[in-house]
Amino acid sequence: MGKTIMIVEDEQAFHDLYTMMLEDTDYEIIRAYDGDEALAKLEEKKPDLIILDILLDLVTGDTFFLYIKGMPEYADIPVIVCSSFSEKAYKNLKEMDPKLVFLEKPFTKEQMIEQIQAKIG
Amino acid sequence: MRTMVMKQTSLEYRNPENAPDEFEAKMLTQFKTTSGIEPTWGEDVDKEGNKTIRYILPLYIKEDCLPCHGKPAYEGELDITGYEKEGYEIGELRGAISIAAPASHLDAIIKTNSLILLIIGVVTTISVIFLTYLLIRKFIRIPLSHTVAATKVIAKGDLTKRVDIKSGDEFGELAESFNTMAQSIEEKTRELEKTTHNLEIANEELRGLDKVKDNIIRDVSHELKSPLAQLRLALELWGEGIKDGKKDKDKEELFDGIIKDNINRLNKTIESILELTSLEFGREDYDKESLQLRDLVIQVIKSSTLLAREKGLTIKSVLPEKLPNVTVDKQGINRVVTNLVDNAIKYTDKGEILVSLQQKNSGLEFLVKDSGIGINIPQEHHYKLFDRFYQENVATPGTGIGLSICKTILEAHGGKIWVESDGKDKGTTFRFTLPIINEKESSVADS
Repeated sequence: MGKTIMIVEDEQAFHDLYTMMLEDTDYEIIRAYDGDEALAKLEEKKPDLIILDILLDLVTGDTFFLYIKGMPEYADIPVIVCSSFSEKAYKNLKEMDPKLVFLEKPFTKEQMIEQIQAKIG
Repeated sequence: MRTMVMKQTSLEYRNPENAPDEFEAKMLTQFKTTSGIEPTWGEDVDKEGNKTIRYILPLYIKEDCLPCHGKPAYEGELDITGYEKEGYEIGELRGAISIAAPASHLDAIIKTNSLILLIIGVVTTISVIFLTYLLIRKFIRIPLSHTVAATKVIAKGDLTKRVDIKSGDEFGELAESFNTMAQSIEEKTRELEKTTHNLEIANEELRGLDKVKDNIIRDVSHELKSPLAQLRLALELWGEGIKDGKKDKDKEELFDGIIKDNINRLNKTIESILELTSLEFGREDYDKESLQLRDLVIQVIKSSTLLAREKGLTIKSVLPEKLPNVTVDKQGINRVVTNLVDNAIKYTDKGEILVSLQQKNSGLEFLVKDSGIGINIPQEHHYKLFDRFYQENVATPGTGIGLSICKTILEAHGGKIWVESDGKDKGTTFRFTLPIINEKESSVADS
């Protein structure tokens, strides 16, 4: 079994598309539909990468991001943020984690795979 | 001279003891030459050199004096005391009674009297000063200090303070003027506070509008870009499959679904934006007619039943007959009721949805109550649900514009809409009211 990717995304269609996108790879995928679920699943297993939709309900994506970056045991997990907005809108997140990668919607499969590989190979 | 001496004296004395001294001789001469002089006080120095007070009372011949001092009946006639009668006539000066008293005694009396006078003077002065103080205190200081105290209180910001002086004098007038002034200041301050408050509200609204603008941009961006992203990925993956010559029916159905859903979503977003914009700018023409709201609601429930049944929900309705008509734009109100009922179905996974209609005061109240996800924001933020694009749960399809449209339509009918919820997963109740306008009023309003 390869590395683990946690996808935090509130729309089912995106989960379906990510799954199809990554079905030829041997990444293990953990799905979470909101920030609360993601936090619960983090405790079960620490992923190697998190793909995060920033406009989440309940615990919003950016709150979730700030939370994991504040926790020593999770702070080192690389994060790819997918958002309808450009990187400029999230200056504060970038300041907190300079290695943070932004993918502005709509992005291509190639762009996503490229970023995942750059982070965890 | 140690004691007081009183004697009779005369310029024509018969007894040598009655011979006048210098003071008496001078006074007697004056009495004699000038008739009608009153008894006279004077000062003198006695043989020992002591100051003496003198008093001399002239004695003029009266009828009673004549037997001894009148004309002799014969030369050498003697009176009863043995002296020769002198031959005086009535009114002539015979002599005087002279009193001489030591001045030292009188000085002492004068000194004592002066001391008493001084004490009386001092006591009187003090009393006058004290009384004056009391009077000033009662009539000037106290009213003045009340006024000053009131001024200080007002200066500190308590504009309700008034002076309670009803004396009718200048201070009363001053107090009255002061109270009038204070009241005027109070009123002006209230007005100013009201204006400031209104300005703050206006400012807040402007800031709110700014935020609304930001939110619109954010939401439009999300509502357009998210479906676009899904479309792009779906088409890309589908295209890859076609290129590789793979045929996977399940995947194709999934892609088909995603593409159709997202095209619908994009279309709905764009329509909502156009609709809301036209509504807010008043371009929407309302074609009002008098109708039974009950009929309209029943129609909506009928068309939503299928949707509810698909989710295993039941719609219960309490719609009394014979409610008054309302004068509304049928299409607009139909849109409102449909939107509220559809929302209830959309946000409820199990249980039932209650739709009711009842007359309340001068209006009809429509209610739709569900047992769904409830509202997870505090009561004071519930109004946000009626902001355009606000969507509490972005996971649920829809643009969040529907409630904003409902509000706009209802307000154009003189109605209002509000929401109640006990919190997350505790269901939601939407209510709106529409005024009942009778035919007469309606025609007046139209004209």
